[in-house]
Amino acid sequence: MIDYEKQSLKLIETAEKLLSDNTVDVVLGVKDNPEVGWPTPYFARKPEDAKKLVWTEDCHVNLANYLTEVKGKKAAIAAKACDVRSIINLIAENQLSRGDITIIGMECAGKMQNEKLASACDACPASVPNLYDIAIAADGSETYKNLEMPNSSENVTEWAIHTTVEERLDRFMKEIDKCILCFACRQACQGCYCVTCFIDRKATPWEQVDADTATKMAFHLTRAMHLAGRCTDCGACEKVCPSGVNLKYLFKGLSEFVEETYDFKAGMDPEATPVLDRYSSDDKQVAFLGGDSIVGI
Amino acid sequence: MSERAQVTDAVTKEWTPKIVAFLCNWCSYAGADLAGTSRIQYPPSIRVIRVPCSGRVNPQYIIKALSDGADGVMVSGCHPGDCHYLEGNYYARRRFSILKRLLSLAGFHPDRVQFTWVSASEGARFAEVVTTVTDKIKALGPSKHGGRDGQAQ
Repeated sequence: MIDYEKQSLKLIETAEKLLSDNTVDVVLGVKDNPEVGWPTPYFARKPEDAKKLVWTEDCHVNLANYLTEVKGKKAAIAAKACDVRSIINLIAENQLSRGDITIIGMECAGKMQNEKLASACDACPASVPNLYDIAIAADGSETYKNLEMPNSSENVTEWAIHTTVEERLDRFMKEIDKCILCFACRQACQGCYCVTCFIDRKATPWEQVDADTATKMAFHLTRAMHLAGRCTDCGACEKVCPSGVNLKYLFKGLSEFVEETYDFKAGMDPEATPVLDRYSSDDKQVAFLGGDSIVGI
Repeated sequence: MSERAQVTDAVTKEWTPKIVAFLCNWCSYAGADLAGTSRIQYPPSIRVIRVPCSGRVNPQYIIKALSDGADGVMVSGCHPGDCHYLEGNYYARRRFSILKRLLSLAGFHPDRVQFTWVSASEGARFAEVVTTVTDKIKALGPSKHGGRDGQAQ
């Protein structure tokens, strides 16, 4: 379906051109890394570096996060549809300036991880990014093919309506039991760009020394709250988790709620104000004593 | 969980929930004060934390209270439109709606977390709200979530 060789060649050619005519200072992409087993992030700073860039079926890394590390420089980034939503989110939150970034939109039909479709990729609705400067399509050309995507994501609201509180608690506890508090999910997340994360602040002991249930619960729930209306469904948190914690359903459930209640979807419009940064005086009294009840739950 | 000291009513010997109540300084705290000075009776189940505004209540405080084993959390602020800081409770309203959905997805009973508006003149309403909240949480029983592993609280 996707011709990775042609996409790689086109990417190298584009990167060389951008770097040699000084349109950008750095191109963010991935390069082969036999030690790790899959391609890892690579910053090409000179035209001759561009040859190292690759584009394969297992380059599932969300590179949006690295843009904040080259803030202020002109940067180009090889981005999939989900990465572009993350970039838009970062622009909307004033972490990046649109003028500094050249988005090389890579058409994508889902990435592989450990020889199967990476998590979150089965739920992806679009093969084509919703914002880009340079297009690299499935066959290496410049016109997108708009591939058919599986788009088979779980509807979390439906699930929640048909389960009891105990069943939901079981699912949550089963997932956080696996957690070893390594914080890889936070490191990989496009939304977790705080210089000091709340869990690392030793002045207020949010985190106790031992990895007990209360700490794990506080960490994961707070992270989910911080990502409410900001998660772009890239699945990076699940892809990096060493113990297979799968909590993306919480983020998905909140995205559904935010979209339904406040008509907002993260990573769609770089000009939009984030949902928790604004209010409307006639917001529904959802969740309030005697107010509108939460639909179904 | 059995090691956890449970609060019992001194008179009826009945279990009473431990509820953390975040009250805004300008309305709900004054409302609670009025309930007190008017000698209105309400269950002694809340532990009041006074905050400048309901918008000051970081969702993390609520999560922390629950994951450390509180039976319930109540947040009360000025009525929409009456905020001392003009718009703090509007921001809080969105935040709380989302937080409640999150907690509900993660398996906390929605009744354990209650948000409400009480003004400074509503002493009777404050007592009524506390009674309702306490009854709802009492019906759910002690919190099954959180608490430090292997530690008596």
